[in-house]
Amino acid sequence: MARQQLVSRQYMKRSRAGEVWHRLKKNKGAMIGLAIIVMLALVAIFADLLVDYEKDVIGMTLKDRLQHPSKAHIMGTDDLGRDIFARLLYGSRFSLSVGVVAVAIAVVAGVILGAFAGYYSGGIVEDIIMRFTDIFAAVPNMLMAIVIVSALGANTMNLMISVGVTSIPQFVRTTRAAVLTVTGQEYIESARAIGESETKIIFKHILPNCLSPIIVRVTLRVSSAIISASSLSFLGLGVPAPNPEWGSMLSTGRAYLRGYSYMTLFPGLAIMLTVLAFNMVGDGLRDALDPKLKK
Amino acid sequence: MENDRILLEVSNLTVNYELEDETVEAVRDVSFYIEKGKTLGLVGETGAGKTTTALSILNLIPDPPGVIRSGKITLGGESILDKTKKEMTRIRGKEVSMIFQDPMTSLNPVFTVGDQIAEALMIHEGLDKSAAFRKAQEMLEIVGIPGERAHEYPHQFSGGMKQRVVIAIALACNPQLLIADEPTTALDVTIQAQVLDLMKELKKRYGMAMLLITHDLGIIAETCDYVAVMYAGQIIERGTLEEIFNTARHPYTEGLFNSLPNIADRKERLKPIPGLMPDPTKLPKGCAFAPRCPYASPSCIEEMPEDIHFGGSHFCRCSAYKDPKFHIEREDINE
Repeated sequence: MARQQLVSRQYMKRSRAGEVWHRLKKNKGAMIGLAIIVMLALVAIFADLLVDYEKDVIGMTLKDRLQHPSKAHIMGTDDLGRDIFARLLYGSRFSLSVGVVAVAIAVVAGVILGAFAGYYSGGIVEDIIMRFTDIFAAVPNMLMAIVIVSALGANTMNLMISVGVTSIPQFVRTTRAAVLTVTGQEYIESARAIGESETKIIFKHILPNCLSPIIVRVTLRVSSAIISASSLSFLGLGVPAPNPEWGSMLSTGRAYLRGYSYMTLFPGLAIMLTVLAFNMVGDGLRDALDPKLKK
Repeated sequence: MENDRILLEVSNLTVNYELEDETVEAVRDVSFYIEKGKTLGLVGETGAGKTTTALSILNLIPDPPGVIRSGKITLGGESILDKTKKEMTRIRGKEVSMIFQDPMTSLNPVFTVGDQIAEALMIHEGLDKSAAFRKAQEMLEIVGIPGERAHEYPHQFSGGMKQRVVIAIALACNPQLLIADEPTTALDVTIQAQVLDLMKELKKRYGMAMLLITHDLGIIAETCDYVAVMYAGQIIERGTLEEIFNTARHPYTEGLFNSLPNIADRKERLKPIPGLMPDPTKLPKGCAFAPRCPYASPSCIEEMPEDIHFGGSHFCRCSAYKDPKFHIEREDINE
């Protein structure tokens, strides 16, 4: 109690978001991760300025095939003579957009369902939502994603949908748990006592108080969505052929793994780096949003 | 007593919390009324059903497991329990406001206090955001907080100030009835006094009625016009402040007064009421207080006592008064 007051006095001048940012800044890992993410995002947005899609990304020059890294091609070239570095840069578009859009789908659906399940806990609404969530979660994620993509057809949009849908159960559960604790708080009862309607109570009073665990879950989930998307592309169920999705680059590289490993090494590193960055930011955010967890 | 003086009337209210394997009889056959502009104090120990009674006036009993089994609640002549959900949200905060026990947790941590006061005004008075916020600042001034602090968050306020904010929210729409559920329990004594003075002053200013729930007889003595004593879900005695404090009739009320420290004789030991409140899932057939009552006769345990009236509004639910010669032995009354 006393400590809480001390802390609040110390941060008197800062808003809540400012406080979180202040704590996040102290976390080196999270800042490195954030820097990587910002860089990746910039690369993805300005990929067209950095490389020429027609010439560098999908244009074949067979005489240059399977070259080792050199000045002209710093990461070498692939089996069709395309510059791996250029393809990686351009590929960040697919990986990041699939990760972000898939998680966005999952967040919207999962948070709304979870909020209702948590608010109407003990009733039939909760039973229906949670049992369906359980059924969804019982099917292995990859299997489910494969089924959805093969049913809808392999393209980028369907890849996003399938990865998004498989992430929904996690968000339902996270949100429900957070809503359950917040619903029991006295300020929610006060909100009822001033005549606030139920939907407004859920979306205006409860959900903003549940943001911390959801934000953390989002950053961590983006990284696994990128992995799922890459895995699906690796299996040939993702972004269609000439496009340089990192997973599908890995997949084509597999045939040359023994003699020419650069084709798998660099896309693999790119995936790893991105996932690591999101995970570090996620961990950092979790600490920053919940000061009680620290030390 | 003319009828149009009565603002709130609760009659034969029975509320149960029905769990799978047991039923908690939280409120049993409770009746009371509050006149316009008057304050009724509801006293009783923890678990006596005070808060449940208050919540049923707003129809906010957590359901499940709470069920209003029977009874009628009328506010200004209209039956509360027959209202639809939508009509109810129009009454909450507008006609009847409630202050909760713990100001630390009854403000939403993610909104500024100004926004939270403005919220009620936007719902009920139809004000737009900026007008509501200006009114919110005025409300803050009224409860003694500088208006510019409306932009701050709850964690930047102390406990006493938070309770002032809570009061500002409750009074924002000029309710006819304010329900205060142990408004000062979480505050220390000096702040308690300030908050009580503030509430008294505001009550006079706006002429609203108040239902004050507390277990502190000192607060009752200072603020209330009428007192109702609750025990195990029943109102066992009711009367004006003077009637209860000077001529308490029920042995439980007597016990409450006897367990207060005696300022005149500081060395004297407290005389607590022996025993504990009965388990609300297994209430005795007869008088719930009988097992702890020094005057209990065998019939008390068997028979449910009836209300015995002593003229005016004073009544008590105790079978012993069937014998007109019966009286409790309260020591310090006539000294």
